[in-house]
Amino acid sequence: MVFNKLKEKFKGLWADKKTPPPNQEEKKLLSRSLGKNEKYFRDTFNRCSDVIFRKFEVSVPDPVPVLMVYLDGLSSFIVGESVVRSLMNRYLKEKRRGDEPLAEHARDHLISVPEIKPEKDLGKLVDFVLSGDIILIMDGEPEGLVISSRGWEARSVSEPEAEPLVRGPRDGFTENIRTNTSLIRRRLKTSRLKLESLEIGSITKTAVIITYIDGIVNEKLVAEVRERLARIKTDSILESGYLEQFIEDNPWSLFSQVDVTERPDKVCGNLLEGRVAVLVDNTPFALIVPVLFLQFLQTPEDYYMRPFQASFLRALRLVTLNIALLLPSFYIAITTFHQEMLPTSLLLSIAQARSGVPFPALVEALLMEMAFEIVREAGIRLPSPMGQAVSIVASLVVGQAAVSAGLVSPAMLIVVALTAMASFSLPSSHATEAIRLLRFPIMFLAATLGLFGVMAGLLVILIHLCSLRSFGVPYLSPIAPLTLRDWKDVPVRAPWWAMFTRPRLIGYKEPQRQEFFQMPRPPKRRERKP
Amino acid sequence: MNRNRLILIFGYFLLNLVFGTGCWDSRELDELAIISGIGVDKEGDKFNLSFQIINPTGLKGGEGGGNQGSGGGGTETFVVAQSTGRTIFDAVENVRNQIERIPFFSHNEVIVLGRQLAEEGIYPGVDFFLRSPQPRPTQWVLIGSEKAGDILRPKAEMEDTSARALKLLVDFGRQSWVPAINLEEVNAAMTQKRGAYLIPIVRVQGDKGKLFLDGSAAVMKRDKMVGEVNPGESRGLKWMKGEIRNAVVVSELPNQQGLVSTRIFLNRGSIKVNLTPEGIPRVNVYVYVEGEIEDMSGKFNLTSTPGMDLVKKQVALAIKKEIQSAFQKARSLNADFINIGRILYQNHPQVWEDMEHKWDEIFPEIRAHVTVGVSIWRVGEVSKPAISE
Repeated sequence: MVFNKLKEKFKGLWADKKTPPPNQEEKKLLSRSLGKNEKYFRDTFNRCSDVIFRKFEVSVPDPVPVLMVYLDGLSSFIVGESVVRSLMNRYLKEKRRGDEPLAEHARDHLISVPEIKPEKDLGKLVDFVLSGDIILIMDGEPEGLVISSRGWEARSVSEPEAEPLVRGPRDGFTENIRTNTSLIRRRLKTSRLKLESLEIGSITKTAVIITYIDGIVNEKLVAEVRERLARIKTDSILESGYLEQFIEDNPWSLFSQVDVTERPDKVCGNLLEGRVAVLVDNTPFALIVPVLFLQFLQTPEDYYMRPFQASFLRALRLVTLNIALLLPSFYIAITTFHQEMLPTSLLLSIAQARSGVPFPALVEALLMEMAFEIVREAGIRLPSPMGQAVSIVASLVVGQAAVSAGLVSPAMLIVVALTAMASFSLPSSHATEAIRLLRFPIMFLAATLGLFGVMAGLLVILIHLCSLRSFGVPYLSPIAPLTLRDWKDVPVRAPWWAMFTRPRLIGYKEPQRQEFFQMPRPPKRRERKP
Repeated sequence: MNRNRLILIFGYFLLNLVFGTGCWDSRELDELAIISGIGVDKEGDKFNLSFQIINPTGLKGGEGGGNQGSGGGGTETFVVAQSTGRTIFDAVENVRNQIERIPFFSHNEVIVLGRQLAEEGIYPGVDFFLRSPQPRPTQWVLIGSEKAGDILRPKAEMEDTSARALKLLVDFGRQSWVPAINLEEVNAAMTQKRGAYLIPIVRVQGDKGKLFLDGSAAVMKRDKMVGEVNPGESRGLKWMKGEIRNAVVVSELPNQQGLVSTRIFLNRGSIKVNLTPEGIPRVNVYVYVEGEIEDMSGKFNLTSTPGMDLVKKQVALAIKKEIQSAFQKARSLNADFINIGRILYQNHPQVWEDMEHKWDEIFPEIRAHVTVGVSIWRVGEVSKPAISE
C-alpha cells in the first residue's frame, strides 16, 4: 500500500518519461559551402573556449580554403602539426587528377596519418571533435575528413592501489580505455579475444567495451550482457559503478553480484574461465560477470603462489570472513546468554574486564563498532598525512582512553580490533561491504535471542545467498549446486598442472583447459637419456 | 489484501517476536554470581549451603579491576555465602537475600558434601544439582572431613579460589591415590542396589587451613556412608581398575638393604569372577604395571638380571598388598566397592539372580587371587650404586 501511494505521487514523473528525449536531432549533412559549414560549427561550439578553428589554404595547385576543427587538449599536438604541415606545403609534387575529389586526394596522398576516414553527417562530425579527433572540411567538398588524433594527458600505467599484490604483475588499468584494452590484448594474443564497443550515456557518451574470449565464453551470456547494457537509457556513466547498478540481477541484495577490478591479469584470468568483462572509459575499474561469492575470497596472487600457501590463505580467509561477520555477535551472545560455554578462566577474565563497564554488552559493542567505522571512514577520506594523525588520535582515544576511563572493557576492544583486522584481510572490498553491514543486524539478534538469534540470522543470509544469481549463475556454486570438479579451485587451490578444467557452470563451452598428466616427475627409466 | 500488506503484517509480527520479548533469559555478566564451589551440610533437619562465589574484581592480573582505585590487591578473590533451607533449592533461593546477584552454577568446580550429610544419605543433597541444567555433571564430588562450609572457607595460595585448587588436587590425585568420582558417576552409582562406591574425603590441615586430599575416601552404600578407606586401600582399588597413571610404589629391597621407589606410569588391570565347582564366586585379579626406578637407598646392583627380578618381585608384592588390603576392607565393611557383584552379573547373570538377595552374606566369603606383572623400563642415569661397596 505504501508502494501504491508512492506510485500515485510519482505518476506525473513517470508520465514525463514517455515523451522523447529532447536531444534527438534530425540528420544534417555537410554543405558544399565552407562558409555555411563554418557557421554551423561556430554555432554548435558557441562559447566553447577549448575548440580551435584553423583556416588555411591548400594549393593543389589552385588554393582551396580548408577548415580544421579540433579540441585543444584532447587532440594530439603532433598529429595536428603534421596535418597542417603536409597540407601547407607549397611544393606539392603529387598532382591531383582533375576528376579526383580533393578530400580523397588529401586522404590518399597528402596527409600522413594512419587512421583517416570521410564523414558527411554534421552531428557525427561534432561527436568526433568532442572525442578528440581532428576534422578537416574543404570548400566545395561534400565530405569532411576525420583524422584520428585522440591523445591527451593521461595517467600512465601504475600499480593498482586498491589491489596490491606481493607477487604478480604491477600494472593496473588507467582511465584511458585504449590503454586498458591494450593491457588485456598484450596478455591474450589471440584473435578470439573480442572487444565489442558501445556508447552509453546521452551526454557523457561513455565508451564501454564488452570483452570476452570467443569459443570459451557462453554466447548467451554475452548476449545477456549486451542486452542489459543496451537497456540503459541515461545521460551519464561516470564510473563503472553506474553500470554495475543497472545490470545487477538483484539490486536489493547487499551482496554484490558483479566483480570489480583494476588488475588486467585478474580480468584475463576471468576471461580465460569464460567470463565477460566490461571496460568503461574514464575509470580504471572494470566489471567482471558472472561472479561467484567465493571469488570474493580469492586474489589473483593465489594463482601465482605455490598451492600450499594459497590453499592455506584461502582457508584463512574463510575463517576471517566468519570472524568479520560474527565475532561481536558471538561475544554478545556468549556474555549475555551462554556464559556456560566459556572455559571458567576465560569467563572470569572477561567478567573481570567487564566489571565497572556501565553499558550492557550490546551497547558496548555498538559503541566500539561505530567508533571503528568512524575511524575507518575518517582515515580513508582524509589526505594521507592527516590520516596518520587520525589513526594516532583514534588509537589513543578509542582504544586506551576508553578502556582506562572504564567505558568499554579491554575484551571488547580485542573483539572489535580482531573484527576490523579480519574484515581488512578479505581481499575484495566488495565482499566486506555486505559483511560490514550485516554485522549490525546480527549483533541485535545476538543481544535479543542469543546464539539462536545468530543462527536465525545466518540462515536468512544463507537462504538469500542460495537464491542469488549473477547473470544466471548460482551465486554459491560450486558449493550449491555442488560441483565437486570445481572444488580444486574453491576451498583449496590445486597446483596448476591439476587445474584441467574451467568452472563447470561458466566455462562449459570449452571445458578442458590443458593437457592431463603434466605433473613434473623424473623421467621413467626407459625414457632416460643414456 | 495484497502481497505488500501481507509482508508488512508478517514483518511486524516477526519484529515483535525478536524485540518485543525483551531479551528473555539474557543475563549480563556482571549480574551473575559465578559460583566456584558448593558445600552441602545437614544441620538437624535443615540443609546448610555454602557458596563460594568468585569476585571478578579481586582477581589477580589485568587492569580491568583497577578502575575503582585499589586494584586487585585489596579485595578478596572470593566470598563465601551461607544459607539454610528445608530443601537445597530453598537454601539456594534464600542465599539471594544475601548476595545481590543471580547464582550461576555452570562454572562450579566441586561439590563438597558434609560428613553429617554423607552419613545420613547424600541423595537429598545432590538431587538439585542433578536436576538443574546449570551444574555440570562432570564436576567432582568430595566429602568433607567435617563441615563442608569449613572446607570452602580457607583461601588458596596459588589459585584464585580454593574450589579451583581442590579441583586441581583431584585432577592430579586421581592419577594415583584419589578415587575421584564426578556428579554423573555418583548418580549412576547411587542407582545400584548392591554395590558400593568411594567418594574422596577432603581435610583441612593446620591453622592456615591448607586443603589436603590424601586418598582416603568414604565408602558409600546406596547414598549412605558406611566406612572409610585409607589411601593404600583406595589405591588398591585403582590398581585393579587400571586407573593409575602416575604413582610411586615404595618397596623394600631384600635383606634390609634399603628402600627403592618406583614410579608407575602405565597400569592395566582386570577383575575376573569365576565360579568354583561348589558355586562360590572366586575372584582373579590381573594387574600389569610398567614403571621406572626413581631412587634407591640401598646398595643394590640393578644392572644384573637377578637383581632386577628381585626389585620387580618386591614392587609386585607391594602392589599385591594394597590390593589385598582393599579386599580386606571391603569384606570387613561388607561393602562391595570393587563391584564384584556387577562383574558377576555381567559374566554369569543367572548366578547373580540367585545370589543377589543374599549378596551381603556371600560377599564377605569371597577370596581373591591376585597376579601382578611388573616391568621396569629404566633405572635412571645411574645404573650401578653411586656409592662404593
